[in-house]
Amino acid sequence: MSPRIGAAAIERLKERLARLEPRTKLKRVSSPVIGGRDEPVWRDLAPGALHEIAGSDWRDGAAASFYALAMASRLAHARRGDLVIVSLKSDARDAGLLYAPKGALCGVDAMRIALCFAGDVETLLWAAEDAARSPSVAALIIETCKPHRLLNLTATRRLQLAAEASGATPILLRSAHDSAASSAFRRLRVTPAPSAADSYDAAAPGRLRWRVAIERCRLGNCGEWIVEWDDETGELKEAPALYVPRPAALADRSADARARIA
Amino acid sequence: MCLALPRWPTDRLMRARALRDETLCDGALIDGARPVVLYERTARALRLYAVNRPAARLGLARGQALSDARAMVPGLVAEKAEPEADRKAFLKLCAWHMRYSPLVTPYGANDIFIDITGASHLFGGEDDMLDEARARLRGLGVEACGAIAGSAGAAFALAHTHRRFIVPEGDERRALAGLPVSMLRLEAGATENLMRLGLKTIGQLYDMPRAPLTARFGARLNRRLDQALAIVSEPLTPLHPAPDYSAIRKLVEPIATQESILVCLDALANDIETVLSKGGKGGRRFDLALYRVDNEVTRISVGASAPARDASHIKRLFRDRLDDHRNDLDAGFGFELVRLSAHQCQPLAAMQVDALAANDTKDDAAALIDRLSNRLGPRNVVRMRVVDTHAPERAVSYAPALSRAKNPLPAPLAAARPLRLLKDPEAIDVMAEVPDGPPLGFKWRRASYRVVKASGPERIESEWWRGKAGPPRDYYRVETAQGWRFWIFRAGFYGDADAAPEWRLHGFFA
Repeated sequence: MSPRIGAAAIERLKERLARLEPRTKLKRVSSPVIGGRDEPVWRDLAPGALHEIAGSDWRDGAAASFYALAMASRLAHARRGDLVIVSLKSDARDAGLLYAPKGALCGVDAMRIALCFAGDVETLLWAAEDAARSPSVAALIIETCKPHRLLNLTATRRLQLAAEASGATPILLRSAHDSAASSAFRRLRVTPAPSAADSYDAAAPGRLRWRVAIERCRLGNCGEWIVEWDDETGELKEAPALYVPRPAALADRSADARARIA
Repeated sequence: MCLALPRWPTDRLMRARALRDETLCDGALIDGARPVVLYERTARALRLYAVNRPAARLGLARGQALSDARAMVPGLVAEKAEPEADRKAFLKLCAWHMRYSPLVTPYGANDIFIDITGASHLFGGEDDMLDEARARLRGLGVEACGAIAGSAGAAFALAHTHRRFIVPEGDERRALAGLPVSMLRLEAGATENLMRLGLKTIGQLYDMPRAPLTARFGARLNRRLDQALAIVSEPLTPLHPAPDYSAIRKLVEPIATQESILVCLDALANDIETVLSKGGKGGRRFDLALYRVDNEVTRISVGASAPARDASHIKRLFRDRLDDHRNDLDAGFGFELVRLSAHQCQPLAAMQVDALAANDTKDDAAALIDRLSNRLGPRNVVRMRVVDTHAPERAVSYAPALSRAKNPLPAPLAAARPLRLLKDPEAIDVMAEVPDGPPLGFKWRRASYRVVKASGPERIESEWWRGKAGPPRDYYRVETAQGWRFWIFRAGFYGDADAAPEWRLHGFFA
């Protein structure tokens, strides 16, 4: 940098950069933990901020969609809106259909979820954009199981712009090997981890656990966490560290102490 | 209005052949002056089924034996009749006549009733409307006679006895007086009996005492007479149910491009919003019918999850559908008439415009569902509903979001259920302890998995009361070494004499 550039020029440059940045203020969302329903972070989440979730194998799809649903349930609660899930018809055959025999999924009422199946990626993107533009939608999950050429930077940017106006939060579930550029606000990788021990049956899988890596986060930190789903509270917590038995502190057995007790 | 097509079978055949550049059966070119007959096979002989005008002029008529006809007219062109094809083409022609009015009823094999009450002014009055209808049919090579009268019966009788006739208002009695009784659409026997008694014209029946007539010829005669004289109304079942509201645009110049259709739709949507809001109604289904210059109709219909009448919403729904049809919308020589109709109308309270604009997310949600359903198809936009059953594949039903069915009961279910369920459980090779141990490892989609944790079994009996009883299923929740969690089941038991147990993978836990 030439030393002749003054402070005024730098100010101008800062101003210009600020204009280029998204106008809405982005809050820090750096932890993958999804706490109670009334956590303020979901209310303050920047509208239109695109989240991207992927696994590292095609069989991780269920884990990724669970995480997306958990996020969406908080958004639906905070914004009192609906949840739209757009997916491809061909993927439903391989990956199965979302299933809610209890009437709720991660805390979202199943009746508030609209499942849409598109025939091809073009229609999928159309439906996603249309849903993102609707003010009634709190969160929008776009599921894909394979990498698609059309699901590129332009598509994600368009989605983000559509959502910015309405306030919906789009969550894009990508296939594990899709490395296309995107304008995501945050990118996570969710893979299953061995479940916690069941308190009654040692041979049975207990609380669900995942390894969640934040690979990219605007205004936040990256890192890797192991999180655990608590079915009773409906919260996604950081898994407790492994239990390490520690010896009890040595008691004071000096003559003085004995005398004090006596 | 009644349009009678006396030569429909031959006219249709000639037109179909001409369109396909085919010749007649003897290789001669299509020529309006050649006598052509259609024959059908009856029990004893080949008999004439239909004759065209030149053939009729030479004295041929329906019901004659084909051999007699050939003897009378050398060089006669005879083709086999195709009543099925005639019928199909006739119904299509009837549908096209809905351009005049939505209430069109095909009657018999070649008569069309059109209820033009309140519609004739759109075509410049009854005179012009009848002329237009006949001229258009003539343009298609179809001979048509038409009549307009206050009742269907009178119009029928006059269409069959005149080429063109319009009965002045309330003048049916005089117009029908001189016509033969056969025009009353009675059974063949009744007509014959009337003739035998010397009652040849309809006018002779006017002053007859009713009771003896009924005693002798049944109630049908009096009913038909009253219907023809518009004393009682005749119920007709139209081709398509009448829409609750409709708007129509007749175009001077046929349109073919999507842009021009949208412009037209714009006007129609505004019209229909006006009439719907006047009636305090909203439609659940909207039909757009595009009438082509050459008797074809293209119909596009869209559904709405909640009663709708907002013009911009209706327009948006159709625009999405037209985008889909962009490539296969065959405009032919262009559309000359467009009708937008609203069906399944339900009360919709008048709305205050723009007050509390931020608070209308409920409408937005319905509008979004409408748009998605119409573009992706109603079956591809669904909501989950909980069904009270233990069979896992039936416990959740996926109902179209458009149907707006309520979810009756949230089932109290304690057992763990997967996040995703396969529609058809996939067969897997399993290694498990015999007879009823949990699986130790399995092979699915050509990959092997080692099970490190398993819980179960949860036994689910098949629903034997539904008819198709299968063996009971033992479900296991398993976790593999890599951390994936699956829901797999064994149907049947080891050691069963009839069949070996079958293992399948049914779902995925997160």
